[in-house]
Amino acid sequence: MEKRLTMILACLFLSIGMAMAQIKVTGTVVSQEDGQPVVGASVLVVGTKTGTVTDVDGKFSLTVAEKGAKLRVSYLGLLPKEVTASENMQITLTSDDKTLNEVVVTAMGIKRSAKALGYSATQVNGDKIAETRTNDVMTSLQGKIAGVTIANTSSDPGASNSVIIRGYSSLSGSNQPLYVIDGVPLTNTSVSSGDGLNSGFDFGNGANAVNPDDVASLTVLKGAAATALYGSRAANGVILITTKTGSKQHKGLGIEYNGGLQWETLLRIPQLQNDFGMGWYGEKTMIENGSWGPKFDGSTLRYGNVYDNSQKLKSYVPIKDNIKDFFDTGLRYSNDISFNGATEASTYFVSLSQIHEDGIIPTDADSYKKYTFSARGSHKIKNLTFSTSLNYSYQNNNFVTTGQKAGSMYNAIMQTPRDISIAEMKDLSDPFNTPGYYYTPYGVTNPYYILNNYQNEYENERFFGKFQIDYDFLKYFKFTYRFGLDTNTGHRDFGQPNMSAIYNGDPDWSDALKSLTGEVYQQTTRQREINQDAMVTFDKDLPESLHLNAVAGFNGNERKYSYFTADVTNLSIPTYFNLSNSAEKPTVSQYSSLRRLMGVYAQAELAWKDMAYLTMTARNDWSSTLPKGNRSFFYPGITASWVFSQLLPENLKKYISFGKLRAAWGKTGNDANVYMTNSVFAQAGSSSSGWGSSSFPFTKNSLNAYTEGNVLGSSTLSPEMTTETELGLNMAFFDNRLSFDFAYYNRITNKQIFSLDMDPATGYTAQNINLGKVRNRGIELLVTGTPIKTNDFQWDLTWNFTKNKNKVLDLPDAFGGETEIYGFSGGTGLYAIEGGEMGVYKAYVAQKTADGKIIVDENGLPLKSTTTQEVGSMNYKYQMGFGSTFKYKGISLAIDFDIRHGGLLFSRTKDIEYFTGNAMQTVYNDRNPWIVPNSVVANGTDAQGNTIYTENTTALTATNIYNYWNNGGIDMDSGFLINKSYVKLRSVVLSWDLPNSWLRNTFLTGVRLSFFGNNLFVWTPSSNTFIDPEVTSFGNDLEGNFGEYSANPSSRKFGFNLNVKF
Amino acid sequence: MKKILLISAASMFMLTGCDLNINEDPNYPTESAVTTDLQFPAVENSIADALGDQMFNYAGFFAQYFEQRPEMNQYNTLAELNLDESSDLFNRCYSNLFAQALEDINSIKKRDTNTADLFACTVMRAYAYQLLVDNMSDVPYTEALQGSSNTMPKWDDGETVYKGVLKELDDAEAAINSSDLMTLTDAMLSKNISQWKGFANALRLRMYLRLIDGGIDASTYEAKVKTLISAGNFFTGDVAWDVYSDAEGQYNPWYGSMFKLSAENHVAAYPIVTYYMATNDPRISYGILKRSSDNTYVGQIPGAKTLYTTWGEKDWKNAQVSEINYAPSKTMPIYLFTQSELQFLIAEAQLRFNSNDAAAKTAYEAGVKADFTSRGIDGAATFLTGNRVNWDSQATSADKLNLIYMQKWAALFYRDHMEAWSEVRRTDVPATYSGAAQGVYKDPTSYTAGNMIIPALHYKTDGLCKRVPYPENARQHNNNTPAVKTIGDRVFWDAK
Repeated sequence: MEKRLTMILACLFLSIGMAMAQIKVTGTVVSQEDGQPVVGASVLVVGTKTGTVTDVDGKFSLTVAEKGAKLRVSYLGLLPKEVTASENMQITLTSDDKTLNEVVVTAMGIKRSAKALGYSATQVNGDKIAETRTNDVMTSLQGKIAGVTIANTSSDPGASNSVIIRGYSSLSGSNQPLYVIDGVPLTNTSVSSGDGLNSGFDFGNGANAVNPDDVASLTVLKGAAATALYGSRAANGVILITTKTGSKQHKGLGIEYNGGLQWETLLRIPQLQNDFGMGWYGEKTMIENGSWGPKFDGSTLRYGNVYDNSQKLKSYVPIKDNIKDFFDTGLRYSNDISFNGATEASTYFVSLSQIHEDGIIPTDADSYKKYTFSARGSHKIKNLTFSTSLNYSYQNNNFVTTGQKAGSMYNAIMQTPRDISIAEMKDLSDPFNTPGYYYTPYGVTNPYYILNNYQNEYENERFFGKFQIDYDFLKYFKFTYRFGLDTNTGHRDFGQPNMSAIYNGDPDWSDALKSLTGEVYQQTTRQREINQDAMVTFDKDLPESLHLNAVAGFNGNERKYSYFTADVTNLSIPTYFNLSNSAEKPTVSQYSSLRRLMGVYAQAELAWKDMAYLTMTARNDWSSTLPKGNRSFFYPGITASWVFSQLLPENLKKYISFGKLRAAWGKTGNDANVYMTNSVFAQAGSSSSGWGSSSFPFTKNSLNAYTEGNVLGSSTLSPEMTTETELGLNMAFFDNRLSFDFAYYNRITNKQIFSLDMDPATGYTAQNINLGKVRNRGIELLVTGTPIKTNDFQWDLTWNFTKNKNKVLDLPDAFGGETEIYGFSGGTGLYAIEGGEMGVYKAYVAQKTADGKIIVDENGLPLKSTTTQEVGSMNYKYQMGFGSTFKYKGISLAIDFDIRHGGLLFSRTKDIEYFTGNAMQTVYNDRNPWIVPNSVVANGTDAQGNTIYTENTTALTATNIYNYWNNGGIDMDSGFLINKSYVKLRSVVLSWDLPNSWLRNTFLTGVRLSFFGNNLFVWTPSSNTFIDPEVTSFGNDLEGNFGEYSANPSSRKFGFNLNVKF
Repeated sequence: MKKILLISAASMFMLTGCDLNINEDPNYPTESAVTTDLQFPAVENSIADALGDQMFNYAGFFAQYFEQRPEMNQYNTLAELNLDESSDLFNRCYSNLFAQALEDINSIKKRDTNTADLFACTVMRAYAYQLLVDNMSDVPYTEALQGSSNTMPKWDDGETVYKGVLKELDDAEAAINSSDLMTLTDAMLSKNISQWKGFANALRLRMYLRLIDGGIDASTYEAKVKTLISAGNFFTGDVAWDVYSDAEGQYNPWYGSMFKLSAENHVAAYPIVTYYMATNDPRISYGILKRSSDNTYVGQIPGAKTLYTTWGEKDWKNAQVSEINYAPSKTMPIYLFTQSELQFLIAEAQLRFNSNDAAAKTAYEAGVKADFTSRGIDGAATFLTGNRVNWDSQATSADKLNLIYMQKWAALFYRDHMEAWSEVRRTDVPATYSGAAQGVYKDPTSYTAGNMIIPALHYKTDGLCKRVPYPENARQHNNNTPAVKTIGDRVFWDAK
C-alpha cells in the first residue's frame, strides 16, 4: 500500500515534469538538539502549493520550477526555516524556545502565549502524564508541580487522590480544584466512606474517569486571576485538560497502542517487636489479641478455643514476617489503543482502553477494573466548525473495608500476637479458622474470612462530552457555543454475612458474633451536570503595535444529584446478599438535589509589541443556592506582565535569554451548598448513647413522627469570597540552559459558609452562617537546568519548592474563636483556631510541673492533662520535588523524588500496636519494671495550698507497663500523632525508542519500550515506624488530613509498557 | 451582535431551566406540611430515649445496680467515676432534650391552640426540665430556645427552673378549656386528659418532695403535697413509652445500644444483689443471672474489678460475677413514671406529713405489688411477710420510711434508673457504707445489705456521683455556661 502511494506520487511529479522545466532537489532535515532526522517535517516551496514531507530518515525530494526557489521547512516544536533549494541539502532545525513561545491553554480554552500570562499556569504535556502509567491523570504529577499538593488517600486500586492548590482555604466546603475537560466541567465527587472510624472505603473520585493516554495537555491554573472566568466553582483552582484530537498522518495509519504489566508489592508496614508473645499483663493466655505475654521461650503451647476436644498448638517464637507473608504481589494489565486522522475539513480521534488491577491483598477483594471509550471529531464547513467529544467510562472497584469494626481486615491483622501465624489461617474449612472458633473473641476475626465472605463493591458508568460550534462570522469575530454533559450512575453493593446465624453456639458467638446478623446495603446514585457556554471572541491588531484580544460570554450550569438506598439486616440465608433475604423489612431512603448557576463574563487582553500585556477579567454569577437577595455576585481580576528582557542590550542577552515580571490580582466567589437557606423537618429518631438508635416508624404502634430539624437555615447567607494577589518573576539564562519561575501569592478567603455548632439550649445544634477569614500565603519556585547537552546526550534537572503558610485570621469570638474540623468525641481533634494555622491538633498530653517533670499517679503512671492542649499542625512546612532526566539517543531515564517536610497526622495503626504490645517501642527495658524517667508524684500541699511534688519511686508493674503504652506512652494521647514528613522515590521511568533506521522497512512509525516504577521507596523520620504517612481514612479533603484509622498499607508499583505507533 | 447574544442566551436556556428559585429542600417536608400531631410522638420519643438509653445506663452505675464486667472495659469510667466535662456523658441527652423535645414543643405551641394539647406539651416540658435539673442542677431556662436571636442563653439555677415549670404546669392546667379534647397523636397516655392530669400531679409530688428535702419553702410545699394526696388524682397503670418490638432498629434503645456494641458489659453490683438476697426477693431473677462458675448470685463491689486480685482473689474474671440479664430489656417500654414509684411517694407523704400509718402501709404494699406485677413475678404477698420488708415489723416510723425508700430502690431497678439515682441522692437511702470498699470484701459482716459503696477505684470525687458534668457542647459554644463543677458537687435540692 505504502509503496503504491509513492508510485502514484512519483508519477504525478513525473507528469508535471513533462509539462515544465523542472529541477529536482533532495535533502535531509535533522534536529539540532539531538542530531536525529526529523520525520514528517513539512517542506513547502514558498509562493506555491507544492510541497512534501520528510520520510522516516528525514529525507525528502521535491521538484521546483526554477533554481534559487525558496523552501520553507517547518515542524511542530522546532523553529521554521527558509532555505534556498539545492541538491543534497542538509537542513538543521533548531528547537523552538519553549520559554518564549510556548502556547498555554487558559480559562475557557483560550490559547495564549506563555509569555503573555500575568499569573502562574503550569502546563504539562500528555506524554509526561502517560509515561508513569498510573490509572488516573493526577497521580502521575505528584511532587512535580510547585504549589500543588497531590496525595493518594491510599494505595488500594482505584482509590481517590486529593489535589490541593495553594493550601486549604475553605473550612466546610470542598478544597478540590475544578476539573475542566475540553471546556466542560467534570463532577469530581469522591465516593468514600463518611465513617472512616468504623467502616472506611474509598472508591475513587470523578476525575479518575479520564484516560491518561487521551490527554494531550494539562494546565493547572492556580490563582484567582487565572480562574476568574470559571466563576464560583473555580475558587480552589482549575485543572484544565485538553484531550488529543486527530491530525493528518504523514506516514502510517495513525494507530497507537499501549500495553503493559504492573506488579505491586507491600511498601510500608509497622516495625514490630520479636521478643514477647501472646498474652496480657505479662502472662500467657490462650485467647488474647495482643503480645503482652512473657518473653519467647520456644515452648510448645496450646491456644485458642477447644474444638472436638482439641486445641491448636504453636511454638512460642516470633513469626518475623507475619504480616508481609499475608500480603500478595498485585498485578495489573492494561491495554490502550487509539487511531486518529484528519482531512482538510475533518479530524477524528477514537480510543479504547482497559485496566484490570488486583492489589496486594490476597483474593480479588481489592480490585479495580476500568474501561474507557472516547470519540472526538470536528468538521469544518466554510467558516463554521462543528466539534464533538464523547467519553464513556466504566469502573468497578472492590475495596477491603478499613476502620475498627468487624469487617476491617487490617484491624484484624494488627491485633495478631507475634506468635500466631496469619498466613496459616487461610484454610477456611478448618474449624479453628472460622469466626466461631477463631482464637480470640475480642472484636476481630480471621482476615481471610473477611476477604472471602464480605462484599464491598462499587460500579460506575459515566458519560461525558461536548458538542461545540465555532462560527467565524465577521473578520475579527468568532462565536462559540458549547454544550457540555456529564452524567454518572453509581451503584454500591455491600454485604456482611449473618455470622450470628452461622456460628450460633460456637465459643466466640456470644462475645463477638451475636449482633452480626448480616446486612445488605445497596445504594444507587445518579448525577448529571449540564454546562453551556456561548461566547464571542474578538482578535485584532491595532495601530501603535497594539493587539487586542477580547472575549465575552454567558455560562449556564445545572447540577442534579440523587440517590436511593436500601438496607436490611438479619439475613435469612446467611451469605446471600439480596435485599429480599430477610424476614425484616428493608429500610429505604432517598435524596435528591438540584442547583443552578448562571454567569456572564468578559475578558480583554491588550498586548504591546510582544513585550507588555494587560488583561482584565470580570464575571458575575447568580446562584440558586443563595438567598434571593444575595444571589448575585461579581468578581473582577487584572493581570499584567512585562517581558523586560526585550529591552536588554545585546551583550547581556547572551547571558539572560529571557526575563518577565508579572503581577495579578483577582477575586473568586464560592456559593453555598444546596439547601442551607431554610430549616426543615425530618423523620424523628433518637440516639442518646450514640450506639443503637430508635427511630420512627415504630411498627408496633404503626407510629410515625417528624421533628423540627436541628440545623437553623439562614436567609442572609452570602457567598464566600477569595481575594488573591500574585507576583512572579520568570527568567532564563545561558541560552535557556538555566531558568527559574518564582511566584509569591497571598490569598484571603473571607465570609466562609459554615454550619456552626451552637449550644443546643438555643433549640438548634447548629446554624448556617458566614464566618471567618483564612489566609494562605506562600512561595512557589521552579528551577530547571541542563548541565550537560551534547549531540547525543542531555541531562536535565528540575527542582520545585513550595512553602505555604496558612493562618486563620478571624473566627467569631462568640464561639470561642475556634471550631473543630474533625476529631474524636472528647479527645484528639483537628481545629481551626483564630491566630493559628488551619488544622491545629489538640490532644491530651502528660501533666507536667513548671520545671518540666512528668507528674505520675500513685501507680507510677503519667497523669493526663485536664484539658486537651495544642500540640502541632497538620500542615507541611515545605514541599519539594526533584527530578532528573537523562537522554542518550533514544534512551531516556527520568527519576522523580517527592519531599514533604513537617506536619502531624493521627495514626490508629500506632495506637493499636501500642495497645497490642506489638510495636517495637513497647519492649522498652525488656518489659521489666521501670520508673517513668524524670517523674514526680503529688505529696500533700504547702502552706500556700500549692501541691508539693516529690520524686516518683513507683516502678510500673506488668499491668501498668501495658497501661503506659496503651495510654500513648510519655506523650499520652498526643503520642498517636506522628510526624508525617517523607521522602518518596515517586517515579522512575526508563524508556527506549527504537531507532528509526530499524523501523524504516516496517509498517511501524515508532516503538517505545519503557520500564516504570512508582512509589518505589519511602523514607520517614525514625519516629515513624508505623505507616506510610500519605494514607488517610477520612476522605480526600480537609478532614482527610486528620490521619488514618487502620487504613490498608501502601504499595510500590513497577512494570513495563510497550508503545507502538503505526 | 446584540441579537446573536440574545439568540445564544435563548438557546442555552432552552436546555437547562433558568429558574433560580429552586432551593427548597425536596428531601424534607416543610413546616406547613408537618401537622402538630405528627410532631408530638417525636417529643415523647426524644424524652423517653434520653431517659431510657443513656441515663438508664449511667444512672444504673450511679444507683449501684450495674458494674463493669471484668474482662470488658466499655464503662470503666462510669464504674470508677472517672468523669469530667471531657467524658462526653451528657452531650447527647442535653442535645436531644433541647434541640429535639423542647424545640418541638415550642414549634407545636406556636401552631396549636387546643388547650388540652398545650397542657400535655407543658407536662412533657416540665418532665424534660426536671431531668435536666436532676442531672446538672443548672440549665438554660429563661433565655433558652430562642434560636439565633440568643445564641448564648444564660443558665438558671435549678430552683428557678423547678419553680418555673411547676408554675407553667399550674397555668396550663388552669387554662384547659373543658370543651377541648386532646387531638395530638399520643401513644403514651392515649389522649386521655385525666391521665395527663394524673401524670402532672405525680410529677408535682416528686418535685415537691425534692424541694421540701432541699429545704426550699418546705411548709408551702408540704401543704401542696397534702392537697395532692387528699385529692388523689393520679394516673393509673404506668406512664410508659411502649413502642418497641423484637426487630433490629425497633429494640428498646438501651438494648439496641448493647446489641450494636456487640459486647456484654454489664454485671450486677454488690449492693443490689445483697439486698435482693437479704430480703429473699424473687425479683432478683428478673434482671440478674447467676454467675457461671458456681450458679450463685454474686455482685461485684463497685469500682473493684481490677482490685479483687490484689485483695487476694485468685482470679476475677467474667465467670466470677453475676451478669445482667439483657433479655427483658429487648422490648421493654421506657418507664417515665411507674405506678410503683407513685405508690411509694404517696406512702412517704402519708407517713411524713399526715402521720397516717394505715394509708402509708396500703400505699407501700401497693408499690411493691405493682412492681411484682410489672415484672410478671408472683409471690408479692409472701414476699411482704418477710421480716425485713414487712411493714408492721418495723420498729419506728423512721424504719418504715427507710423501708419505703429501700423498696423503691429495689423496685426502680431495671425500670427507671435515673429516678433511682435521684432518690438515692434526695433520701440518702440506701445509706453509704462507711469504710473503704476493700472492707466489704475483707469483712462482709461489716456491711449492711443494700448499702451504697464508695467505688474502690474512684477518680474525680471522693464519694458517690452527685451530678453529671456540664455538657461539652454547651461549654464550647456558650460563654454563659457556669464554671466547671465536679461530679461531687450536689444539685440544688440535694441539701443533706
